[in-house]
Amino acid sequence: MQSPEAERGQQGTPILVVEDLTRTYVKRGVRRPALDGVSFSLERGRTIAVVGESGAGKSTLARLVAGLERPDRGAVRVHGAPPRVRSGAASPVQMVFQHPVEALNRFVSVGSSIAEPIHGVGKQEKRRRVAELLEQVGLDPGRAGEKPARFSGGQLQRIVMARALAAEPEVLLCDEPTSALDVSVQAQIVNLLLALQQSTRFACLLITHDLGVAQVLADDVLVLLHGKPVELTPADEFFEQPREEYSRGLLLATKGQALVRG
Amino acid sequence: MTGEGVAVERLSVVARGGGSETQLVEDVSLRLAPATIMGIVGETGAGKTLTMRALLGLLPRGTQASGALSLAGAPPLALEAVTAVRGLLGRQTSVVLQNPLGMFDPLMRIRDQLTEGVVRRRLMTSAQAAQRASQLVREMGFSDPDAVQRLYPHQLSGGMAQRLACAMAMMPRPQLLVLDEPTSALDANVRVEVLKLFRRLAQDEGTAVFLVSHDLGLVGHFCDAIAVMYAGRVLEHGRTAEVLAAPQHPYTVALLSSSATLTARRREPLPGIEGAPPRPGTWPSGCVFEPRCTAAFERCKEVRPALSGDPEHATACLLVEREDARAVS
Repeated sequence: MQSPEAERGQQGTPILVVEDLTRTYVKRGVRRPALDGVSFSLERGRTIAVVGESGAGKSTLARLVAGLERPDRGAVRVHGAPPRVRSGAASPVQMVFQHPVEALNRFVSVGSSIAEPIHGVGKQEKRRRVAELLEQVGLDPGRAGEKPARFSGGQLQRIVMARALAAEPEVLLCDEPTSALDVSVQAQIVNLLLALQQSTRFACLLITHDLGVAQVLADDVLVLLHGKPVELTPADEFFEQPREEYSRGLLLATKGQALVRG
Repeated sequence: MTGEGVAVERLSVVARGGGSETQLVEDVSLRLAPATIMGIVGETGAGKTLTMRALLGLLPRGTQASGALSLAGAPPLALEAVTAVRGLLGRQTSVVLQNPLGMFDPLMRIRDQLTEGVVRRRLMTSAQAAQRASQLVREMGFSDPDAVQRLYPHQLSGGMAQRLACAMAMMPRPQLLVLDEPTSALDANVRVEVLKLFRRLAQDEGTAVFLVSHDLGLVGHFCDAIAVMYAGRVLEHGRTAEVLAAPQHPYTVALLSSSATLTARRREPLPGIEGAPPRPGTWPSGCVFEPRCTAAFERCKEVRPALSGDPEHATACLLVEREDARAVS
């Protein structure tokens, strides 16, 4: 076994760096920090799972990393530069959401949606890329012309993943990617994420309340509570023996409803 | 167990429209003793919610139930008689839905909502209802029932609302309580607490409970019995410990092994189930799981197996029947 530090050294420089990220919302005159001093870095091909209860700041972190919101303090850097949402260029941070239905335009063919982030190539090449991406996520390339309504929830999540991959992202931000799916479909999406990360080596920031999903996908686990980082621990260590009392409680709550199997 | 608890006999649901019929639920028979919880698990479209709605008389327009429901040994009530079945709701049967706020009138204080139904149905006097409401609210883990009952729905957190919805459902002392994904909108740690309260209350009051959930872990922990549904049918049912320790149907086995749990291997693919469940109207004529089953053989395409076994553990699978036959010979 190598120490996580030694492993990181081999991975080279981090792709995503989050430094002292802080965001405060003001509601009815009361300032409430939604995220407070969160820092971490993430290398190519690795996954950090961000876990915590609702209101822990997971979604705020996602919006800040995606560049959809500005932090009050601290910074997000992808390859040293802040990510921006600009039209005409695909962001290096791509997102996969909990509800794929809401992420896709229902009036547009799934092929067109997937082609959206592809710029500067001809029609033929676009079509070829879309077919390739559909195949990569396990869907029939012949269905590129169909509208989202013709696909199941699991298939739509695959389409959202294909669109994210079309942008050749450095960072894939997955916000509860399997929470709305059935168990067997959940497994298929988890497996697809693993396979895609292996082949394309994106860094993955996985937001989840499901420690079972984190158990399978995460290299490191970041626990948030009321916007503050509780601990950032290598997954092997975290699931064996979390450092903090609060994390132990989270694990116990999950084990409390785990299967009673021999 | 005759005369006690809840018995569902040969429940089916069909959708009618455009001159054709589509089977949505087929031949579901379940028995449930008082003070026990049965988890109904299965994936989207398996017919879990439709089965429960048929029992409550709450099927959507265009669908028709058949079969029978017996409560506490009363003569079986035909499920075709929707008005009669619906008449049980709020008296002998009750329900808690996934979104508790949908059950509350936003303009009424909690106290009035808890008591309104039972008083209107003349099951209790106002004084009796008020007393029962306070008692139930306390049992749902609120130390100051009066303060909570003065609140309006918008002042409740998700966990509070769900506990109060359960208190409201329990007001008429129902014999059958249906919990349809009652905690899927709640945080994991709140979920466990809420379900513990639900279970204790059901046990204290002798209520039989169907808990609909797609979360196997949850059902495994909280239910005495479990029924696994797939494509409108029950493929396996029995005591939770039996079914989870020794699942017999290949679908149950696959479902259990494909769940992402804390015992799954890090960074390794989960043993998944290929494909997706068939949509209603496209069910195979043989075993409904045959197209996705890795253990299927020729006869599975032709024969739709019936449940065989005993109330402790029964399975609808030709493989299991074959093993039984071998054991006998």
